[in-house]
Amino acid sequence: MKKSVSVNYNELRHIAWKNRLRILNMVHDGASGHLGGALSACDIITYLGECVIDYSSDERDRFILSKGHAVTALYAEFNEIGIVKNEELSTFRKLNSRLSGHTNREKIPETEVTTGLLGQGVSYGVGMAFAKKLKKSKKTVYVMIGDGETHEGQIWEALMEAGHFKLDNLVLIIDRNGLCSHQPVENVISIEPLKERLESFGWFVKDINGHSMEEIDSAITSLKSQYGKPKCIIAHTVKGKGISFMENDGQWHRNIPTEKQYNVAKEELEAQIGGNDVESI
Amino acid sequence: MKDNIILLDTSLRDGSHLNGGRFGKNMIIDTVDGLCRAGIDYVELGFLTTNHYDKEISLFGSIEDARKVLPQDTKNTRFALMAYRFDVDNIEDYDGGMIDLIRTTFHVYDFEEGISNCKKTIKKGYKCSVNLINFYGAYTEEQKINNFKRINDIHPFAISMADTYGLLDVPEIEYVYELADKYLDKDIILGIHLHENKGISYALAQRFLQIKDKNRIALIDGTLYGIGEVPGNLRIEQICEFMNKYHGTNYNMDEIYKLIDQYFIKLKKIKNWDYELPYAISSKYGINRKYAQFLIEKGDVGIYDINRILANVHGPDKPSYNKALITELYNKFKLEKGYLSL
Repeated sequence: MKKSVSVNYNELRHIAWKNRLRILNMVHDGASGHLGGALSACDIITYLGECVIDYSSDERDRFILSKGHAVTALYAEFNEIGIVKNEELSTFRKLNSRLSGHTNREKIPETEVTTGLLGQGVSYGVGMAFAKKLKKSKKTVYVMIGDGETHEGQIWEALMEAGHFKLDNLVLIIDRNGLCSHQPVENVISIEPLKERLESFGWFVKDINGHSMEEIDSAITSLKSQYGKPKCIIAHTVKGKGISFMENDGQWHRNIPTEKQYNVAKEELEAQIGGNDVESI
Repeated sequence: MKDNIILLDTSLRDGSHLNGGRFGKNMIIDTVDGLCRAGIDYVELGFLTTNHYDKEISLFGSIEDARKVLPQDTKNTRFALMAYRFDVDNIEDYDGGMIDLIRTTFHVYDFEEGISNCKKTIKKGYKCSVNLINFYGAYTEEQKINNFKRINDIHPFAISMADTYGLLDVPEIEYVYELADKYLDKDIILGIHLHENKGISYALAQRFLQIKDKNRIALIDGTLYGIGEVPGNLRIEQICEFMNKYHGTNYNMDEIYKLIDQYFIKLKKIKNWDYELPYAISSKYGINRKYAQFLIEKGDVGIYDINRILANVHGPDKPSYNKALITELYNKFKLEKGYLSL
């Protein structure tokens, strides 16, 4: 946890709106990318970047974005805190760009691990959390996966292992936007009752609204009070959150907006941001 | 105060749980005087009460009553009173005297009443300390955070997190400090009130002082020789020695040890308040100490039995005390063991 952070929820919401516009611009400019899942994860990633992960320190908490296709949300926050430069944003998914379509730690070490093949992030997280225990570090490892990603078998191996070793320095965040790619998760393979399943694997589980900065802050902060179990936040979110015609529409898992759609979406986000901040993005 | 650390003695208030505050006039006056000579920053004189004032008892109906136990020379010590289930409207407005701090209690069930009393205290001109009873065990994590936000709104002089049933271990003291420091306005003093359920209150106090932000003022409660409802409190003499050794203070230990010799060792022989394992077990389960007390008083259950019986106290019954429940659990346990026949 970053030291001496004064949490200002309005400011965090404002940054999240700016990050949404950055996400939209990256996918639009790169004519490639995944808007829906990046927008659903945006508030949590913003919070982690602003309030939790101290990227200036090598001895930091770690954040693994296992659902690597939502990487624009991470790049947007990296831009906000200065790891990614303004001029880089328009290079997303272009040749020789640092901003690849999924996290790539060789290009941007702050992404911690290279992802893209879904289902691996929790395993990375278990390894890191285990290592921190061995080193007697008090730092925490945060991993974000998609709800559809829980269909991957490797996830459950890692969940089982984390429970067995009581890795209470591991926090799993499930972006529960209800859509797996373009269709309802429950129609593909049902994952409910998710909470009870996780609890049966030895996890402490908390449900939150993944777009409420107050609930995100409260959950992330107070999870520290749980000892002897790995912890999971099931963050109930909306795929495409923040852009009206993208919300809960599976097409926007991978769709690229037309110029007309882009302009409508941009206008909606700029209205939320307001003022001079729009110009700086 | 040194290094933004204030020590507050609550012997006459916490000790009154043992004897209703009936310490006798000499002990009350000598204790207050000795603590002033020792250089203790704050002395809590006792509970505020609506009962008629009796000079033999450390209960007070007014500031004027409480002033009667102060020595002529109070040195640099200031004084507090505890308003527990007491409407602060019943006391005088603050007159600039040395009794300037009113400590108001907040339970999970009377939080709003606590807020109201705190506002009244501030309005009357006193410094107010918000004492959060069973802070760690009674509130959900969300409630803890919301409590801090609400307390910021009334902006008291201090808050004190009471580990009423001795639930905290070192990781938890680190957590509650970080939580409070994050959400509480930086100029509100952050205090801790510790009990000896696990026999580690001195270690917890040290850890609290180690991790505290140097700019945040800390308030540490303690009592002479640990006096308080069994299993007792953080010993003020220990934390004074710690302060003298590591923070360069000059708390006068002679004065403190004289008081302990003269009164507190004798008192403890009459009614012990030390560590007892059943209270460590009740704290392990995060439950009210009275459940352990009930079983101890039965006199026919061992530690093994107590551990098994107390494991069955759950949910809302944990912080409150449900005598019917523990009676039922006790009888059931005895029946199962064949000790009791119906």
